Amino acid sequence: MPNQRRSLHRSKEAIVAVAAVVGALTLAWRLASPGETDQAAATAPASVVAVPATARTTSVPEATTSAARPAALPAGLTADQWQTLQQRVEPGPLHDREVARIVDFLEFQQDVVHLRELRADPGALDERRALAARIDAGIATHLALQEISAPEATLLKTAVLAETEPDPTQRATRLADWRRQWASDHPPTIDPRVAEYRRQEAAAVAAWQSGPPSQRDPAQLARRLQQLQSAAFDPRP
Amino acid sequence: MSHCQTVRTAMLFPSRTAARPECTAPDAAATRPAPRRRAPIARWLAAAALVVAMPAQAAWFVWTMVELPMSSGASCGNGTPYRFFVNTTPFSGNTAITFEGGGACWAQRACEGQGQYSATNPDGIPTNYMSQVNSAAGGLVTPFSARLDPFQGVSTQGWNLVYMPYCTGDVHTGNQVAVFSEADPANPRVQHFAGQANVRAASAWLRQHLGRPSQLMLTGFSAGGVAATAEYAVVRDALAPTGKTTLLADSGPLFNAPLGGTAAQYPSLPLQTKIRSTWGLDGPQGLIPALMQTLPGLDRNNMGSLNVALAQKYPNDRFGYMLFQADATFSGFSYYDFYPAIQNQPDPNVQKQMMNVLWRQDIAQWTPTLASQPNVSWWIPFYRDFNNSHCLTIVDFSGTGIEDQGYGDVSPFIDANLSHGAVLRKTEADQASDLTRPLSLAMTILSIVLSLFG
Repeated sequence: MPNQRRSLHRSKEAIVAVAAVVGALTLAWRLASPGETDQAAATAPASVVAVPATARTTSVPEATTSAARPAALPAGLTADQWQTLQQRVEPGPLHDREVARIVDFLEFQQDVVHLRELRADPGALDERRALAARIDAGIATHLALQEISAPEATLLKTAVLAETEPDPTQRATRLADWRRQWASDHPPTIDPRVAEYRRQEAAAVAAWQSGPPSQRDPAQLARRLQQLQSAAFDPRP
Repeated sequence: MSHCQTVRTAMLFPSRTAARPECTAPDAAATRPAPRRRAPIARWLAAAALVVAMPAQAAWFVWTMVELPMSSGASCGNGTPYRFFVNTTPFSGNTAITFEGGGACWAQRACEGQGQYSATNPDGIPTNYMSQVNSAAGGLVTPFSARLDPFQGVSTQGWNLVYMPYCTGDVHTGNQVAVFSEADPANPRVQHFAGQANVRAASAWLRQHLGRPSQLMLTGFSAGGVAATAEYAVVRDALAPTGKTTLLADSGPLFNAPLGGTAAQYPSLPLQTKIRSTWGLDGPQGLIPALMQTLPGLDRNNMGSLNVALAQKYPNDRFGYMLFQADATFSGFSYYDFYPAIQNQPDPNVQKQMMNVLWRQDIAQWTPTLASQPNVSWWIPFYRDFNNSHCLTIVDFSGTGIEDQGYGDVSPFIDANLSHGAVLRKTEADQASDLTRPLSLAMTILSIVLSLFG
C-alpha cells in the first residue's frame, strides 16, 4: 500500500507538473501575443505592473469559415462553439493542445450534466454507474488542471459514491477519507513573505502602543502598516 | 477622527492612504462620474492600474487566482494580500460574481476565528484556496460558484464565474484598521477591515480584464449575501453591464434599523450600530458616504434603506432576497452579542427561540419595505434541516421549497430573477411540514461527512 500511494502521489505530481508547464507556456504565449486584450487593457498605462494573461474580450466573436473543424464535432459542442473555441484559443504551437484540453473538460462537464439528468430515472442505473465511473476517473486530472475546485470535486465525489456505494455509512466514510487524503496532500500554501511581515507588524504595533495613549495617532499607525504591507507584498517596480 | 471609537479595548482608525494617484486606467474612467469624488476615484483607478495578477494557469475553464496589490488598499483581515478567483468561458459574455460568507467579527477572538460567532479565514487566503476542501462554509460550494455541479443546475454555470473569498470579517464592506487586544493584551490582533477596498479593486480588475459583461449576477451567501447587497452599486457601476443585471442575496439581509430608534423597535439596531463604527462604514471613505453619493434613496441613518435605494436607482435590475424563517445562524450573529437576556439563557434551545422571535420581527418589518418597489422579490421558506436553516443556495436547492404555495424549491425564484420574469414574493405559512422533510442525497452524505471531518 505505501508503494502504491507513493506511486499515486508521483502520478499526481507528474500531472500537476505537466499542468504547470502547459500553464506557464500558455501564459508566456499570451503575454507575447496581446492581440486579444480588450480595449481597457490595450490602453492601460505603462505603469501597469503586469498584464494578466486572462485579458481578452468577453463578446463572442462571429464565426468564420477559417476555423478548423474535425470530421465529427466533439461531444457537447455545437458547430458555433467549436468555431468560437478555435478562434479564441490563441494560435501557436500550443493551440491544438489547449483546444484538446478544453474539449476534454467539456466532455467531462457533459458527463456530469448527464448524470444529474439521469438521477431521477430509475431505469438508468447501469448508465449512471458507467457515467459515475468515468467521472470518478477524471476528478483527479481536472482538479490538478484547476478546472474544478476542491469543493466542486467534493460534490462530484459525492455524486459518484451515490451511484457506486450502496451502503450509506460506507459512502460517507469513503467521502470523508477522500477529503482527508486530499487535504493532507494539498495543505494551504505558505506565503514566505508573511512571516517577515508579521515580525514587522508586531514591532510597529508594539512601538505604537508603547507611547502614552494620548500620543497614539491611529492614522500614523495605519499609514505605517500600509507601508509595511506594500514593502512586504507588492512587487518591486 | 470623530468616527474613531474605542470598541472594548480596540483602537479603531481609518484605513490606508491613497495609492499612487498618478496612475489611471482610462477605460474605467468612463464609468466614474461626479467630479466631487475626484480624489477617491483617482485612488481606485490607480488601484486598477496596479492590480497584479498571478494566474496559476491562464486559460479558459480554469480557476485563476488574482492577487490584488496592497497599494490598492486591498487586504485580508490579517494584513496579507487579498486574492480572488476567476473562471472564464469563451462561450458567454455574462458574469456571475459570488461573495463568500463566513461570519463576521468585532472583537479579538472572533477576528481570530475563535468561537461560535466568529469570522472565517482569519489567516488569509492561500494561493491554492480553490484546492482546499475545507474552505469557508465547510467547503459547501454553492451552485453559483460551480462550473460543474452534479446535483443542481443553474444557468450561470455557463457564465464567467468570479469567486470572492471572505477573509476580512466585515461582510466585505469595511474600511478601517483595528487593534484588538481585549482578550490577549500581549498579542493584539491587528484587523484590517478592508472589504470595501477589496471589492473596488477586484471590480476594477474585472472591468479592465474581462470588459463589460452582457448579463451580470451578484450573489452571496450569509455574510456574502450582505456583501452582494451592500456592494451592488459599487460593482455594478464599475462593470457597467450591457444587459440584465440581477442581485440574488442569500441569507444576508440588511434589515431596517434607523439610528434613533430602539432595539425594541428594530432588533438589528445594536448590531448595525456596532459594525458601522467598528468597520468604519461611516468614515470619510467608508461605504455609506460613498453610497450616499450614488444612491439618492439611501437614508444614511438606516442601512436597511439600501434595499429600496438600489431598486430605485436601478429600476431595470432585479433584486431577489432569500432567507429561512428559522435561520439560527445569521440571527445568532445579529442578536447574541447584543442582548444579555439571550447570552445568559442557559438552554440553547430557548436561546434559539429568543433569537428567532427577534429575527421574525425584523423580517416582518422588512418585507413591507421591499414590497414598495416593483423590481424586488423575496423567497422566505420556513426551515431546512441543514446548517441551522442558514443559507438556501449552498450544496443544492433541496429543502428550499414553499410547498404550501406549490413550489418544490427555490429554482423558479432564481430563474425568474435571472430572466427578469415574474416578481415572486413568497413567504411560507406552513410551520410544520419542513420539520419532517427529508434531506437530499447530497446533503445527507455531506452532513455525515462534515460531522466526521469538520
